[in-house]
Amino acid sequence: MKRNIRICSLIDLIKNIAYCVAGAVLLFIGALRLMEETPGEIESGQKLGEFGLAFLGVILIVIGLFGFYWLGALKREAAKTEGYDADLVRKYGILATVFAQMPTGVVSLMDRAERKKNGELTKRGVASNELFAETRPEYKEGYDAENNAVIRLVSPRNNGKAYQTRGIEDIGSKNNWKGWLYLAPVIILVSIFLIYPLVNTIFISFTQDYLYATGEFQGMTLTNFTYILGLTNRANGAHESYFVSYAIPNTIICVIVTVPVSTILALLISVALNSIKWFQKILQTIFFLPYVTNGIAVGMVFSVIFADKGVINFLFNTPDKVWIYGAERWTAMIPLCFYIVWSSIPFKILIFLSGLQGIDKQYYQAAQIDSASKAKVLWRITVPLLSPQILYILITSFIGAWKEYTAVVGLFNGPGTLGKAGDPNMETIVFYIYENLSTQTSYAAAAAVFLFVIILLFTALQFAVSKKRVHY
Amino acid sequence: MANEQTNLENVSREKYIDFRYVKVNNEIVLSLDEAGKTVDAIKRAEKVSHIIVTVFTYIFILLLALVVVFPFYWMIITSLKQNEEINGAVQTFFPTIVMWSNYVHVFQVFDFGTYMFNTIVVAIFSTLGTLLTTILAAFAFARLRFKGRDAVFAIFLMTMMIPGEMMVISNYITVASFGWIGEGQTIFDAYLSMIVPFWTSVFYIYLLRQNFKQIPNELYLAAKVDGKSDWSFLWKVMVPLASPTLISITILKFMGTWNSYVWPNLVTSKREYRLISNGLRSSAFVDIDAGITAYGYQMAATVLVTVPLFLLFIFFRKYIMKGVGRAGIKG
Repeated sequence: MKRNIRICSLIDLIKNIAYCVAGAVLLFIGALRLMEETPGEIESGQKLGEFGLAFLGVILIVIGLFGFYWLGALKREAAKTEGYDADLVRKYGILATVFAQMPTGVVSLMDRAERKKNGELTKRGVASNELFAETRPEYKEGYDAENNAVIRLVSPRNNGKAYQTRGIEDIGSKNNWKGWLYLAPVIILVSIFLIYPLVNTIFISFTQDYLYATGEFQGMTLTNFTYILGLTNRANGAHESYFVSYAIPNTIICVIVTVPVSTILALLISVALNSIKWFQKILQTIFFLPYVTNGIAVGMVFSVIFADKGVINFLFNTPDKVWIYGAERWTAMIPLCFYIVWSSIPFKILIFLSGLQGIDKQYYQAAQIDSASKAKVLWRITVPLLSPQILYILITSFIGAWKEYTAVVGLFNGPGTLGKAGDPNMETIVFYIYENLSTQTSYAAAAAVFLFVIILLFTALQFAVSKKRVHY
Repeated sequence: MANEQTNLENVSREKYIDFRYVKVNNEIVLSLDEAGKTVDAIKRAEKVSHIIVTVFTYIFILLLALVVVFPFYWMIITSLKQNEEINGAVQTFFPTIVMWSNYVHVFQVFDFGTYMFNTIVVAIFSTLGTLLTTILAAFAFARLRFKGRDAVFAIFLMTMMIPGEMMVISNYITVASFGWIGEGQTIFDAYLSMIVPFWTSVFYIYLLRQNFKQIPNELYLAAKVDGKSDWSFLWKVMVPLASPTLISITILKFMGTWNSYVWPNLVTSKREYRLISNGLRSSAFVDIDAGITAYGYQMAATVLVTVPLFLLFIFFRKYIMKGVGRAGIKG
């Protein structure tokens, strides 16, 4: 077993300084922001974030200072054995460990450089065991018969624990309450930003006129759902027709068009990619490119390509046909679906390819002996063996298609094509949620719950079907 | 010799059929299109059909690859065109006059530096937080055994099914109650509201847990013999061994921040606090003389937004594709 003695490290020094500086900055910012506010606000618990920040800053500073102290102690111990800068350390003592860092670090750095040159140190700047034993004969690994003890050289960092040879337990083998400590940050974050919102959103969807700023509402009601579905009107006679006439149909079209098209296309492409020899890697990379793009940016590119004086109209000789701004709803669906398919294909290809590479070649050889046709091979061997991946892709892409939003923003820069009286004719369910989020929170919540239920039903349905069709 | 042969014959009859000693069955029917052909002819036909299939495969793939690449190509050349050329009746596939000045104009109009800075700050801090929480949680799920672990893990996995839109509404309210949104929002508030809610990701915890589970238990015992605590074992052994996954997570998280649009748009009150996607869509790239949207400027801006992602992809292709691909491998 290799044991290295770490005499000194400049990194530790820098690390401690960084801790202190970062802590000071956080503390400064936090304090500054706390000072800005009136005391009343602090009492009402509105500025928890700043308190937390200042606290974090203090913790960081403490860690840094402790590091300085600890490093100083280490230095003194090292000085005892090394002897090269004992004077310095003695001179400054514990109280001035901060100053002691600098000379020690530099001296040891010079020392190390020289020793490296002499070939006494390994590349990473630590003394090898053999060398240590050679230069300091008083420390020797082995059995000390006089004291009946095993002597092993260990790092000064955790010399207390270094000899533990019994009572070692596999943490996996017992009930370890420390697990909850490790999980604590995640559990806190998940409950604040995942579990609580879920419950709260369902709750809000049943409240009347929820105001997010104050949290006030006018009693519980079921009318949010009936209102967004256009079944009832509000008290002031307002009627919601966009959700039923635009948001739901548009989303459903996105789902039933783009999911099958992109999945089948991706399957064909990955089978083809898997079968070719030349340029396979390059083509694979090219097909992955749409994944690493900014959805908004490429949406804008598509809106330029489909512009009335754009390249699509030029190539297909349909001059001045309007696809994007001012287009009919059904015409505008074409670029939208095309863009969604284009951008969703790379992920699918990647998953399918990794699945294809896992299929045993023997199946194909057996099919070859039976001289099965290509279509048969694809349909009878590849697809069944790929069915877990296909199921995964279908579930994720169905969920993704139900939540379509970025594509609409990228292409149309708004909920509609600005045709037909400016109706939000390209609106999707998620678009509706975001639009009403801060003004009509109850309705947005109702729409979100609606979406949630649909997605749950769909996923459950797919799992039910998959029990029969998927071969694991 | 003869003796040996009969011996062989006996053995083969007993155990398996040796085709050397079996007469060809008269009932075997060759398929019609192979009738009367020599082996060479059949082989040649197979070769030809193989070549044809390969050629068609390549044509199919290359055509689709063209469709995939075309938007990128069009983005770049449009960003270098004059406005008259973009709106012309005849579309050119290479700019007649290369207009580098589009980019100069975009740098003046589009506050690229600010958006870029915001995006990078948010990306770095949300990635750091995510890595920390993910490593700790994955370690607990993969290595430690305690009551209720599997129940918590199951709940975590279930939350992956919930659409994020469910959370957005309440998270908005939560963040608002922290005082990070609303009147008098500072840049620091804006950062906090864009970073803190994304400090955890169940999916990455799942990914890293699978990775941690593959690390053999012997390493843990060896570390214990060396006097390492659980804590230092995690950071000195597990984390370095899982570094490819961690790099994948970092890059995917970075890309996620680069592409995030909805949340920053919701929680920021000022234009200067927003991220790059918001800036791109909300900036008006208008040609001052004509008063219409100048696609040249717009595309130059999209090129600026896309190029950093592409660079990231070029340098970390392996990690990105592995990280994304792992999602599909059943664990």
